[in-house]
Amino acid sequence: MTKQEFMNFLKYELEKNQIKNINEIIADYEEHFAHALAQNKSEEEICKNLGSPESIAKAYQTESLITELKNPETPFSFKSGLSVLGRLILLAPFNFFLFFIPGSFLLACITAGWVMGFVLAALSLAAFTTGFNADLIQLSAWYGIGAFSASMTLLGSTILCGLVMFVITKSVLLMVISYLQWNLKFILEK
Amino acid sequence: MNPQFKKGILELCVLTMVCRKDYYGYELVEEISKNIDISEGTLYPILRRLTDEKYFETYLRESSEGPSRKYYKITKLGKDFQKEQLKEWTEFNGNINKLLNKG
Repeated sequence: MTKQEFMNFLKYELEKNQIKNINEIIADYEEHFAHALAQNKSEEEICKNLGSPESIAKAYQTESLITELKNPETPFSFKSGLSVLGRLILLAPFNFFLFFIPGSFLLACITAGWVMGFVLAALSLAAFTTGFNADLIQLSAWYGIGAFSASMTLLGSTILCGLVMFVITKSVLLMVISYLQWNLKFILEK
Repeated sequence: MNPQFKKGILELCVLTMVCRKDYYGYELVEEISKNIDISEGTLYPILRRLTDEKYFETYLRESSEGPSRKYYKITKLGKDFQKEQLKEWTEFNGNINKLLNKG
């Protein structure tokens, strides 16, 4: 293997194993090659002594695992508990203003929208039944046709209203969810 | 040799050597591979971890003859760690010898 091949292979393996500080690692091996070449060793020989890039990348992975094992994420401690509590308190008034004031306004809007949708649906149904029973309650056929077309218009409006409300509700819900996730992240952050 | 066994010993060797004087990577690798049969490439990961764990500090020195050298220097934390590891190793080694020589 030539130096270039070795370095390319090593970089590929490091990336594949998601090793940190790849550039620094590559620099270490560049330096190694430079020193060894200065001692008139052949590229082939240097590569052979270094071992396979695959096992080197695995070695970096093992080493970082050892570091992780030595410094485990601190389990619940009084201090971290306090800081979580502190952040909760910090966040509480902020959440209150954000959720309570525009939140209640937004909730009112959404509720009103859905109520309007249901009213439209009910009206459409009412118009439809009136049209259908026009001759039963002894109204003219023209009146029946009028009621039908009104019913269709109302039905269209209902569907339109429902669609718009669905889209709005969905995006608001998604926003609330991601905001809550951000909250959780902020509170539990180390 | 069993690779896991070798790793622990290598760590102690590297720590002890850097305790004595500042080494640059290639120098250290060369000296160790003279005495122990290893893939030279696997020493750099150990050096990196010991640096990450603040047992070593590194500094770069340009050399007039030849390539630049990244030196490893022991820290106070590193010295303490080496002492502790050496003590553990000596004890362990003594116990193993006792076991092996019993028969």
